[in-house]
Amino acid sequence: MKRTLQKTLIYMILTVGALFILIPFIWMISTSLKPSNEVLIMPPKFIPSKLIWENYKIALEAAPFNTYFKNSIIVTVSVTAGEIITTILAAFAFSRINFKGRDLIFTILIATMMVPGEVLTIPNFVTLSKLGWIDSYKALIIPWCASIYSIYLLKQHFMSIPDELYNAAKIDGCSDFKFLWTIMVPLAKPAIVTLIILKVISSWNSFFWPLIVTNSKEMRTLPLALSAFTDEFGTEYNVLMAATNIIVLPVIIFYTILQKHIISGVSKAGIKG
Amino acid sequence: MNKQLLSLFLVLILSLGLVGCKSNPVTPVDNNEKVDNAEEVKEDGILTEITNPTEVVFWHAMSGSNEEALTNLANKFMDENPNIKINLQFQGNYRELFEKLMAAAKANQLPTMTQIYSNRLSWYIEKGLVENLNPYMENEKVGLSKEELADYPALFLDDGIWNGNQYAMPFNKSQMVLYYNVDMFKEAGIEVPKTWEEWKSAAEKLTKDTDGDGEPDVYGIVFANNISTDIAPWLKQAGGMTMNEDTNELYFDTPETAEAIEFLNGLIQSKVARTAGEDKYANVPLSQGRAAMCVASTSAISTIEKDTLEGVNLFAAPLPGHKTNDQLYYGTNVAVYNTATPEEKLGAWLFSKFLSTPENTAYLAQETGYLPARYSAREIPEYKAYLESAPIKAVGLESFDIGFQGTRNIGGINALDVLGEELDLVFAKEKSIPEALKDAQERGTRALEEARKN
Repeated sequence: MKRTLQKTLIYMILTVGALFILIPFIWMISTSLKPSNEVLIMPPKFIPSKLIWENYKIALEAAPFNTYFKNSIIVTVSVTAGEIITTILAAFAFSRINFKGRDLIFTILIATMMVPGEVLTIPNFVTLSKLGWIDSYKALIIPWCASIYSIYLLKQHFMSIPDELYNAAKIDGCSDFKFLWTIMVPLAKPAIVTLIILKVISSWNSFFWPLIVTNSKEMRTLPLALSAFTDEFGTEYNVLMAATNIIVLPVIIFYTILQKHIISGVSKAGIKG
Repeated sequence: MNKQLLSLFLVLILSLGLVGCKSNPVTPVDNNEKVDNAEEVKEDGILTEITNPTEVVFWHAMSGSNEEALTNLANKFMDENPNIKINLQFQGNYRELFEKLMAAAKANQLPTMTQIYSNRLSWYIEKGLVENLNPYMENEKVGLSKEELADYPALFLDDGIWNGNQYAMPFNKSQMVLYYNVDMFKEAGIEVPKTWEEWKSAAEKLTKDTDGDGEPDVYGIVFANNISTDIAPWLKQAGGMTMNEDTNELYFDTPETAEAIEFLNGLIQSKVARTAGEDKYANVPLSQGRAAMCVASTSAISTIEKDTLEGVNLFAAPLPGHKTNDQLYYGTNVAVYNTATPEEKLGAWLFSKFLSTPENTAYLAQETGYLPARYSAREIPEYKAYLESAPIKAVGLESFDIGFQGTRNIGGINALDVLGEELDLVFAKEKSIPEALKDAQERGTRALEEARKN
């Protein structure tokens, strides 16, 4: 009896929590189907008086979504792969290999996290334009292929793996590289999956950098399509929400597929996603 | 210990170095030497004919139907000028466009031409990056005749002139007007206000607290949240101004400014007016019948019409006057950067001129809701017919001769933002008007100086 009561209570709390998370999504879908004059009406209306599916048509016609979609996928996949590879290698070097100045280099790298991203936008833009990379995939991908934050996170995880494993492998004649890929990486899977998820979401949603480094519609990514619905006098929230739903769908699918790993990543690595 | 100290020291040096990093100096480029085609560069340094294929890159912030209209005009231009390719590049909204321009300027990557507000263009002019259009305008072959020049409302051309040089041509213009609910005015039997006094009295009569909770359910007037950005008309109408463009002196702490602020604050404190607040835009409560009047731009008409509830009948009028009847116009211009080649600059000039021919400016106005940049545009039959079918769109055409555009000081926006912060304290009854204006003057001056250093 006590157990049933406990379970009921837990489920009630979970339901309230789930609703709390779901309401913005439901509101987004509801807004995307509203006529313009019902979007900001007071008191707010949850269910539109009539469903305007045309908002989706307008949203899709506002930008070349196919190209933007393709670019977003190319950029997200490349940036994530690039970052994970550099992160694994760097984290391993900083956690396992002894070399002169290791801690100093790491401290300097950590120090760069203190510089706000906004300050770096213009210098980075200048560098890329000098390299002739503006309006190319290189500009969208390469600057994001390393992240000190991820290196730090994975280094800490690698350090928690006992030295005995490393020493035993070494005695058995295992090279550093083999040890990394066959032992360390599988053991750090939850942390790596968490990093992948964080990177995919941030790269998929990235707005300002793609705006700055691309000029032509052929090179632009999905979030840039959203700015077409806002001008100085207002935002077409209904069409904007329709476009947002289209853009957010792949992220939801990605999240659903990797849900198990996210949960285990959070519990095992102690990292919040 | 020593190692730790050394690390700490190095980290400090590195951080300071990164934060203190000075960005690239901006270097104006003279590309005249790049000319390699047979065309002769005239004495005044400009080309008058394009014989080789030339690409003009135009950065803009026009989205949706505005972008469609601009694309149609660019296509028409390219049909007429097969040697010139106009490459339209949408760079996000205005703020994003201006940020990107700033980054591009520092990287010497500016486009051939851009859509830009004059208060932003000032910085590029000071850095010597903008092409003086006078030689093009005055040129017999590619310029404008005296009659054509006289056809531009002076306030629009003046907005692109610095030290006697035309640096920008008018593009999309609009006016700050008073939108009102026609039926509410009819019901109360009052006329559309023409003076501050009439305006105040109309607001008092039209404010309604139907449920008696002390908070009006229908406000007389709703202003934009950032009331300070476009505060110029009230200051002018009270006989003052926001700032001096030549001396960079602010006029926030003057009797004229105080008079204007007292008027606005009086409306707000007596609860017959409010700022948009949670509604975000001033036109939202008006569109929903929760306000009788609002102050907004004529270019918002299309948005307002789309958002208006059925049964709400709106119209617009010029802002009520006081000591003077000055009306604020705003909107962007197009400017050509001198970092381009002579061919590109000529192409850009020809396109700027093309955008403001009576036919094309009328077409743009009809498709976008902006105002045409030429007097004679309203004689174009299609536009004339359009105005007859939508008379609200003609409201902005009536006040060109008493209109003005905002000041263009570098950092002027920053100073006005400071004034806005102080005004918010006044509206919230946390500061007296004299105190707020004194602080706005001091802090605004500092903000202006700070901005000029960049």
